Amino acid sequence: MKLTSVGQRYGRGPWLFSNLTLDLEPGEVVAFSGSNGSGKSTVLALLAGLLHPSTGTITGRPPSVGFVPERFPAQQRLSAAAYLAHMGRIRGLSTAAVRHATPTLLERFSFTEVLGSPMRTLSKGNAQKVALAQALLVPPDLLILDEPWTGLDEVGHDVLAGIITETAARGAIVALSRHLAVPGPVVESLRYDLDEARLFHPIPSGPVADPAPAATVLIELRRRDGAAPLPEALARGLVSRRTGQDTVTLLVPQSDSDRLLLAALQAGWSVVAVTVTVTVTDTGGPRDTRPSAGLPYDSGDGPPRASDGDPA
Amino acid sequence: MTALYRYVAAGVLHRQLYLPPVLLFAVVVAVGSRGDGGPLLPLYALWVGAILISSLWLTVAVLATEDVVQERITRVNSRRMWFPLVAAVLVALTFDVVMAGAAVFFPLLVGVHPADPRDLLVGFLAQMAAAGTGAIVGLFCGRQVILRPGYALLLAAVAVLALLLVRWIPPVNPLIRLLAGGEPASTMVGPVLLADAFVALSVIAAIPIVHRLQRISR
Repeated sequence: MKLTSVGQRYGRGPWLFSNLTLDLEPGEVVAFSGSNGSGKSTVLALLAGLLHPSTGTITGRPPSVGFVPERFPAQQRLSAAAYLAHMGRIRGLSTAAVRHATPTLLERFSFTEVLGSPMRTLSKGNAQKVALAQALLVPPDLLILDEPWTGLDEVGHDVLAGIITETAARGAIVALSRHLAVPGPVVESLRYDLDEARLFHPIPSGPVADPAPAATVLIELRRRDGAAPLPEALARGLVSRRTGQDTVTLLVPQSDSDRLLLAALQAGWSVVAVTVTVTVTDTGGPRDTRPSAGLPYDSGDGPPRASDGDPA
Repeated sequence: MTALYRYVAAGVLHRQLYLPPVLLFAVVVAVGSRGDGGPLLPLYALWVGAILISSLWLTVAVLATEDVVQERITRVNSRRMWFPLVAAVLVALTFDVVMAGAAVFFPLLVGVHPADPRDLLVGFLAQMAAAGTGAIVGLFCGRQVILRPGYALLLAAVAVLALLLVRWIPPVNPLIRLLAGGEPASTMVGPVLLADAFVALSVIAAIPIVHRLQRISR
């Protein structure tokens, strides 16, 4: 799948992004990061074919696409079972095949409610699991996940990370957006930062079942006057950049943090905050990775909200 | 397409958004049906105007059945992204067929009229031409094209008034004048079939345009 010089704007509004060129090979997991309003969801809508790009072309979209939105508005009176049956049939499955596939999928996500309950009665997390299930009823060749780590519990995180890995291993392309202040496994092999208009090669978290994943450190840096560009070793760990300010947040392995902090200081950057990410591992249980303290936010900026100003 | 039709129809029935336009049409038919033994065709002229409005409203309601995000999922899951638009039009037209069929026979239930089968056929076909026209306008007034309901309502009102009142805009005004003109139904079969064919082609042409507009809006 190829994106060539893709740019997007709505009406006469400002350009969300422009000149986005990417070549996505089968088996690739690509994440789009950026600040609120940078166009993460819009890129995914373009990949899904829901939007027509203002400029550029998108070619080679696989025929079978699974799309999971950031927020699944389960306002329907239909039950989860009926909804999934409809979606499965729309994707070409027989009713019997959907009935066979649905419980297995939802069981994997630890769906905790009655399948016959109306969708509007589902909790946010369970509604999101239904959204994931509909995308996976037929194994997609292109799986699109908009901020998949929000709304899911820890078990859901691990299961989803496993599904993403399996889907990519099958030769499908997986595209996701991530708000990098939201904890979640790093499953992507490529990350395109829309604020930076730059491609990164993040270090994946490793196998999901790894019982002792490496601890990480969140580092917030501010560029001083005359500072050199971010060293390449640090840029690889970039998770977010606040537009309009020379402040970046990085997620780096704890074992590398001292070396990378030194490199940042030597390049003329100022260290604003360092937050150790604590990894809690239950015996044989699900992995829970969360920051030991809240992310440092600038005053007045506030923690990012999942849908805050994010178009489409 | 069958699966998509079933899904859209299930959503419409669950949310009951079809009720206001169907009730509006039912009220017009109930009030307009007279038991004075007069000819049926002038009555059917009234039904043609009413079903234009009801079909437009129905189509907009069907297109609004799903939440915007759910609609995106449905579009992606459909083999062609314009299939949901086709399904929505087919569901709206299904309601129209039932309404037009019932409205053709209703005057015979409440009064005594000279009933020629060709009157019934012409009445039904003329209503379906108007219903199809309403569906086309509804496609362009739906949330998929016009995000703000106020603008959609304004466009719908202007379109309905133009279609009902402007003599040279086909097919609703010419059909109303034809049915109310006092000519025998046998002379109307051809023009009414022509109107149906014109509307059917227009519906087919409208769907890719609406799909294109949908893909460049948010």
